[in-house]
Parts: sequence; C-alpha cells; structure tokens
Amino acid sequence: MSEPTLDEAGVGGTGDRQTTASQGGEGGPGPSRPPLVSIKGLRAYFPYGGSFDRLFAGERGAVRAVDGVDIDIGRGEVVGLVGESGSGKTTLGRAIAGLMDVAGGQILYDGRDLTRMSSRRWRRLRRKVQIIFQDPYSSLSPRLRVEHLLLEPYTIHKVPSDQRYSVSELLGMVDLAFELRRKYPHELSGGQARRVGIARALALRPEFIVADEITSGLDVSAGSSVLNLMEGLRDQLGLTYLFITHNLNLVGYVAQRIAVMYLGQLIEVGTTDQVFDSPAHPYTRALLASISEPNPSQRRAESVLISGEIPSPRNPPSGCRFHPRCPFAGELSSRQQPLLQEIASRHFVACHYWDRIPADSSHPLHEV
Amino acid sequence: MTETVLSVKNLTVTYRVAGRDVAAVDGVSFEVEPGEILGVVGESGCGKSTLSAALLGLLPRNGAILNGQIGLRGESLVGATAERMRELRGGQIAMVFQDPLTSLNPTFTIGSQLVDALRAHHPGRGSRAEMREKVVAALSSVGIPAPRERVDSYPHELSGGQRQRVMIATALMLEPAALVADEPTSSLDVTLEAQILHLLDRLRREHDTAIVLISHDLGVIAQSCDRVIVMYAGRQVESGDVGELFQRPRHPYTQALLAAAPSLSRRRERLLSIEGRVPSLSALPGGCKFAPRCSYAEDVCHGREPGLLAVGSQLVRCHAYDSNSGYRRQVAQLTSSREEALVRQSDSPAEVSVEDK
Repeated sequence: MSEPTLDEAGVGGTGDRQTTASQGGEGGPGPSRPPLVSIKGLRAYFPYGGSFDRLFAGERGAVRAVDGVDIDIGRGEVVGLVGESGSGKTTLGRAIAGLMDVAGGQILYDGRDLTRMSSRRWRRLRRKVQIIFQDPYSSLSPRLRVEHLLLEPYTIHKVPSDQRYSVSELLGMVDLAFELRRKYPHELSGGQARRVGIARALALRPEFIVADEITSGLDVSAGSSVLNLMEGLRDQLGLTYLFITHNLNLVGYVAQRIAVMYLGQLIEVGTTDQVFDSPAHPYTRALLASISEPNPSQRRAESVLISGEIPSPRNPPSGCRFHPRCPFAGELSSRQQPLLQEIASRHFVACHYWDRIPADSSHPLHEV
Repeated sequence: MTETVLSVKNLTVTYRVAGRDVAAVDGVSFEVEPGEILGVVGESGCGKSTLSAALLGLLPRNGAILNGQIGLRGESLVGATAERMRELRGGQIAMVFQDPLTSLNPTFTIGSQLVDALRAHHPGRGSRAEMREKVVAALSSVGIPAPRERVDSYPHELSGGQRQRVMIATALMLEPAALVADEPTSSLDVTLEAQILHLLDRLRREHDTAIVLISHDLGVIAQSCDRVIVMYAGRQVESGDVGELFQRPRHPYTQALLAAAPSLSRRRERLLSIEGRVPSLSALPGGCKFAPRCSYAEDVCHGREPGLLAVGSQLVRCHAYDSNSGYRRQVAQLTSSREEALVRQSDSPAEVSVEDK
C-alpha cells in the first residue's frame, strides 16, 4: 500500500503472448506494453587482484561480468536467461535484484531507475524484487527453524503484522506440510529446502522474482515439481520472473522469451519458439545442438559440437566475443562488435553473419 | 561371441548403520561386453553410487559386499586383496567421477600424476621423457589446449571440464578393459557435457572399453548408452536396450522418470513429477519398493515384492505384468490427468508381447 503505482495492474498480463512487431524505439528487445523491468546498457564489474596484488604487483583491473546488456521484461512475463558458467548470467540477476554495484547503465523498475534511487526508497521497493538463490543450504541460516526462516524477511523489512502471511499460509503456497515448520535446514531434502527459499521470497508479496538455477542439483522429478510450482505461483499471484538457468531443456517449459548470454553480453533474444526452433546465432545453435535429449533416436552428431570452452571474462576476445570458437566467423568478427539487431518480429541477434549461415547446420534435433 | 568384460551377479551391498545392516544395492545383475556402454539410471538414493564403489573396490569402511559376484575378465573382484585391487584399478578398471578434483592429487602436476600412473601400470615402457610425450599426446587427443604447457599445471589450475578430460586422457592412455563413469558430466555445462560424452564414445570405439555410465540424467543415458538399467531403492526395476526402453518404458517408475525428464521437443507439454521421495534404506516398505509412489499400485504390490520378469526384450520388476503371458494386466480405474499422461507414454496391453521372449 506504500507503493500504489506498483500494486495496480500486476495481474492480467499472464499468458497472452505479444506477437506484433511494435518496438517502441526506445529500450531493448522486449514487449510492446510498458515493461515492468527495463535494463539499458547495464554493466557490472568485479575488481580483480586483491589488495596485495594491487599494491605490489601493480596488477589491477576489472572483470566485466556484465558488459552492456539491454532487455525489457513485461509484466507477467517469464524470461529465461541462459548461458554457460562464466557467461555472467548470475551477476546480471544479482545486479537486477540490487545485490551488486552497477558500473553503468540503468535498471528501470516500473519506470524508476533503481541505480539512482536513494537507499531509503530502494529498500521499500526492494520488497517487490526478490531473488531465489541457487544453493538453498547456503542461503538459509542453519540455526533457524523453518518457521523462523519464513518470518525472518518480515523482521528485516519491518512489515506490519496485517501485511504478513502466516507460516501455514507460506508453507501452503509452496506445497509443504505444516509439520515441517519445526525442522532445521539440514533436515530438509533438496527439494524442500528449495521450496522454503521460494516461500521466503514470496513472504514479501513481490512482483518480480529473479530465480537463479533453482532446479540445479535436484533429481529430475524434484526439479520438475519445483518448476511446476513456480508456474502455478506465477498464474495465481501474477508474478514476473527472470529465470536463470544453464539447463536449456528445462527453460522451454517456463519461459515465454529466452535471452542467451555469452561473456557478459546478450547474443540472442527472442520468443521461446524463435530461439529454439530457428536459432540465429552460431552460439545458440551450438548450445541447442549440445543438449542431451532424452531420446535415443535423436542422438547428436559429433560434427555439430563447438570446441573449446568459454574464455575468461578478464580478457575477452575482440570484436564478437564468440569468434575464436565460431565455425562461421568472418573477417568482421574479430574487428567489430556486432550489436543486437532485430531479424524478425521481436527476434534479436548479435552476429555479423547470421543470415549467411546455412539453416540446417547444427540443427538442434539433428538425426544421426 | 564376444567375451564379457564385466559381469555382476546378484550383487548385494550393505552398509552398517546404527548397528544394523541396510542394503543399498540388492540383487543386481548385469554384464558388459567390450565396446559396450551400459547406463545405470535412477534418483539419488537408489544405489547407483554404491554400485560404482563396489565395482571399484572403494566401498567405505561400513560398507560390505554381502552376497553376489563381480567378475572382471573372469577374475573375481569380491574378496580380492586390497593390493590386487590397487593393481587392477586404473590399468584394468578405471573410473571417472563427478568431481575429478577428488581423484587428482592437488600437490602434484597433472603430468607427473599421469606419468606415475603410466609407469605403475605399464612398467618398462620407456624412459620418463618418453612417457611424458605419451601423456602430452593423450592430453592433446582429448582436446586440452596447449598440452605441453598444461602438463605442468596443478589440478586447481584447470577448469572442471579440463579436469574431466584429464581423467579420460588417463583412461585412453592406460587402455583399461572397463571404465566406471559415475555422473561424469553432472557439474558441466551442456557444451562440455556433449564433448565429454563423445570422448567416452571414442574410448569404447577405439579401445573396445566396456563402460558403465551412471547418471541421473535420462538425456545423458539416451545419448550414450546401448543398454540401460533403471534402479530404485537398490533394486533393478527395469532393464533393456536403450531404444526399446525409452520408446516403451514398462515399469511405472521408468515411465514416471521419463515423463519428468525435460526435453526440448516436448516443451509445450506439462512437465510431470513423481509424488514423494525415494524411501530411506532403513525404512523400506514391504512389497514393491515403488508401490507407495506408484499410481497403479494395488493390494498385491504392497504385500509382496515382484520378481524380475521378461516382458518383450526388457526385464521388468512389476506386478502389473502377468508372469505367464508377460501381458500387462488390467489396471484399476485411472483417475487423475497425471495418470492419463503416464498411460499415453506407456504401452497399451495389445502392444506388449512375449513372442520375442
């Protein structure tokens, strides 16, 4: 109630996919309605070389973990952010959730720039933006019982009692039995701990959730049920998600749009169908071709694999950052950085040569 | 007629927990032939890793092989001395684990560890310098960039993918008859996972290595294996040819696992999950161990544990199949949409046949 402008709308946007081309000119790739979250030219760096190195070896610098990212996320939308370890996807998520200093660019939340907001206002807005962490055990205090863990956010944010959910309501939202309230984190299974993490995020009635690898380390079945829970909550509560994962097989089930990240930059953004059915960037194609489909009649050919590993972001390659690994790299690739360009309605790709790559090369579901 | 490299018969492995023996692997049997990849799949707690530890003679102190046989090229590994196992490990039966850091000594360079391994298993094959060349060649063949420099790196200086490659390079070099790979790609990104799986495939093609690939990931199993064993609560509940088993999963657990496995091509459907959890070893239900989570379970399932039955070309441990005909018996009225979805995946009674038995 302190933020009336944020509380209105909210729901209603779920489900209907915008397919018409209506990029309003400003902002990055995104929906045509005013986005809930709009990220413009975002940069986030980690300094490297400890104080010792910096004093004596003179080595200093910054890892450009996120280096110029533009993307809009509409209300009620689920955007999947995919990439390999070292792509910067977790850093991007943390920056959006306000857990990292930003080196440049803007994060507009409902039109207001979080990077320039006073800390007092930001703290109030922060309730609306929650992050669910990768490793539930390291994000849940081992000395608190589940019931205290669930109520902890209320104490931290000094939420008046009439705006709080009860422990039983919170447990119910994430399909956990009421009896679990007396347990400590180490007594929970991986899936249960994950659900407690989700319930803690929901406690503050957020609008926007950054979900960082929330199914990693879980068994297939436990992962599926956490995913289904997240979908159900989105429908019920009208939430918006940035869903960060390295698991491409999984993200197609939840995301309406997919953003592919490589070495701190987005290299392709489109609807889930566009990215999965007609991937345009050679890296996206290589990623899709690498997926282990649970189908023995769709075995991948070795020829479609890219070689090598993602380079260190300390010293990213010139031009297109993917060019040293790219089988289609051309003369421009090492010299000039390709920018995201719209190649079809709402489908963006950052590649100089995307339209010269044969369509059937390294198709994700190449039969051998 | 190819000789069997690895044969496991009726293996039962127990752990002593709080003064009681609990079976983590119960009556598992399989054979692996040269150049074959056998997949072992199941959720955490189903006994996959106990199985791999037993194969390698690396069970923890409170673990013991209670019953059964493990044969490596005809030699029995059950009861083999620790010294003999040390000789066999690496040279005859090698391993690749989820976290290669646990298998590499952090205080020695990659090169010196690989040279030592080579000397230990193939003594008298040339000087240290010649062996070093062999190591460099092996590292380069698994796609480690700048192998001549990497050979002097310590394990922590390599990425996870590179460490896994080093483990496979060792296997390529020593040419073991059998390789046990326990979740070799679980901590890797997709592009690396694909590369590592192709290396395993090369190993079996070029050296005829018999490989046991343990994974919870049905995608990894589908991409790499020839045959599969599905494990649940220490038992094998279904086994068969990979194509057949994925196309016609017969055990309700296999069906549910497949329905819960995310797939690019089925992404528009709803992902299913299995209610409940794998039971604790110390509190196993009587009867079929999967019955409490099974949507087809009837009274008989809770009362008596089913045996392994040949259904088509598969072996299935489930009361839903008739022991005489192998046909799927009528199951109780299906109610929820989840069960309907499972049925879509499974076979209708008419499709089950015993002709090819």
